[in-house]
Amino acid sequence: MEVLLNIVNAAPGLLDPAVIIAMIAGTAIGIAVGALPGLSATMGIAVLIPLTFSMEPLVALGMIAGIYNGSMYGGSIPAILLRIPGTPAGIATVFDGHEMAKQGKARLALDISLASSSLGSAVSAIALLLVAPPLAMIALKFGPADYFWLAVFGMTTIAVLLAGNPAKGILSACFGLVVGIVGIDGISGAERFTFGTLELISGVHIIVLLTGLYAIPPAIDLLMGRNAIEAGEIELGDKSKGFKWSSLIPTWIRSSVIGLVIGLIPALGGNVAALMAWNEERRYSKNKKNWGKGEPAGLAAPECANNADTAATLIPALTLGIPGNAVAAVILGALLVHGLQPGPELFRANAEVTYGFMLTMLVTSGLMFVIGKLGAKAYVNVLRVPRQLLGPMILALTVVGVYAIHNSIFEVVLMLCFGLVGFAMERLAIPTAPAVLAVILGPIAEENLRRSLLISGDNLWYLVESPISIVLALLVLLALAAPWMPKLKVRATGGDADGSENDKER
Amino acid sequence: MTRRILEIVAAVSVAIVFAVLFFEALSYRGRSSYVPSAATGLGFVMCLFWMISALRLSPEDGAVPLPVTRADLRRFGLIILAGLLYLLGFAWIGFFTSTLIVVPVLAAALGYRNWKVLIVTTLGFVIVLYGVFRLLLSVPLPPEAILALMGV
Repeated sequence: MEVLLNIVNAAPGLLDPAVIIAMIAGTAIGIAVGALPGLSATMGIAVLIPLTFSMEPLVALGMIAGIYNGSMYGGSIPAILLRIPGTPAGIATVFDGHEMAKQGKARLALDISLASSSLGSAVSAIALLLVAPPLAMIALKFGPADYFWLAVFGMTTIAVLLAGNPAKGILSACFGLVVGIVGIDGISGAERFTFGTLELISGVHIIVLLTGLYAIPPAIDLLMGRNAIEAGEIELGDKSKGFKWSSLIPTWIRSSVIGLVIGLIPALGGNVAALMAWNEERRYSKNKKNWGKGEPAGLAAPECANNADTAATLIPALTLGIPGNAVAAVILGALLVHGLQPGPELFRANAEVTYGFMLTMLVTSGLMFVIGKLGAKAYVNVLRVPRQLLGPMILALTVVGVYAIHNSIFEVVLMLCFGLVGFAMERLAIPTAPAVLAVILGPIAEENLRRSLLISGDNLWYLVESPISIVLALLVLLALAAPWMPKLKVRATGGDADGSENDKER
Repeated sequence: MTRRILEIVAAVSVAIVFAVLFFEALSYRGRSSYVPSAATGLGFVMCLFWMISALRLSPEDGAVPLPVTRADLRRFGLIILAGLLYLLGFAWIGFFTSTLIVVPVLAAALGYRNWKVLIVTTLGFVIVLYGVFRLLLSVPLPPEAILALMGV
């Protein structure tokens, strides 16, 4: 009941013209960003955050919600038309989407993708609105030791499960921890890792790191010609008449559920949701041989699932302050920039903005449908933007955006250095998401560890006294053991641990 | 250079950085040193694991030369140089002036030759940036050489 009351209270905020314009602009920008291969929602939001400093929180968050939702659909445009997924979540869209385009049904494919994406996003936003507030109340029961383990669990899962080599994932998290430590220690007042540099005393601003790691490497890639695409004449084909849309309803229901569940699990993302949904739908399908050859349900399933994942990833981020992936971490950064501390208090102290933000996730899913439908031809032209121009423009936007935070050239230099570090990390197959997560979660873990030690008089057993702490500590151990489990299974069975039926079929 | 050598060189370099940071962290007093020491120590250990995994790379993964051409390196050098000049320009001649110069010059240097599109797009982009950052957000950017020339 309280949830509904808060939703009703927050709804009028969305009628503010500034919020409406921000949502429309964000969605339009998001679709364009997603349509450009090599650029992602994470990058789009990272570039945008500094520009939203002077905005009202709900205006800024409405724009971010639009970018997030829009980019997930935008990724399907090059996937369908050019066989190049605009975002990692668009990989499964290629299987049937591009085949439909080759058969002259590009417009129908784009329409199916748009409708499925909008539905997935809407379901996800409703889940966020209904699940997040009660979950946040559970988080009120957490003590400092529980929070410590929660933060460690968040870092461990992402670090271990995201990288092919767990050592590289943990290394990335350690880098993030070090960056998060830089500056004056809030408890003892000691300077840490500043090396006498005045500008580092107040620490490294999260946006400096986010922009560097997520905006500069794609810009360099564009300039290097790595994401170059040849978009010549693109025919969309005739309008889809006679297509039985109701045949997709069961697909949308199943795929939404898959997207929601995957979104709640840390370290998984839209790409996993999309691939799983595609595979599950094929298992249900009566005509399996059509799959991969232009089956409409094969396009609807991944698009619905990867959008159903969007708001769901924000559930643990908003309620517990534990971002499950890089986009959620960037959005968490945006919340922090606007003075909103994720966690249970967010739903009490800033109920209007928080519920307003969740509502913008719902509204932008509808806006995405309208903008995507009206601007279909314009978005196809986005694929023709010359990369040599786009790269320097992204560079210019990041430079001025980061400068605008504190009017500091030092932060611009630092951001560019992080950009080069991010570029090197990508080349060396070191994931950047654990670093970002560690910057956010590291200080939470440290603060709660020290608080626990202070309460218990340096008794380490205090850390595993409560049942929540024990469960979370076991989950950390499980996450650490996860990469070795398939190997142990191989030894035990003497066979191929990954040789699932699905993989063999693919 | 092969993948194996690159990974080993990178792992050793990062290990040295973490070792330096580890000794720095040990100098902090009391509880202030717990997390810094743990993070840097763990980072150092992970570098060792990384080195071991690089040494154990299979011949088809580890011994194959990296697919980096001389042109790639030249392009990368050009991007870095442009970035440095852009930074200097930002501080000395202003953001908008240096953007007006760097965006088209870098695009042209990387092979884009449609000058009409280059000039129109750059001008439009700079005008939008000026509107957002100068007029709307009033960001105190460094003085602009181009505006000084125009007497603004």
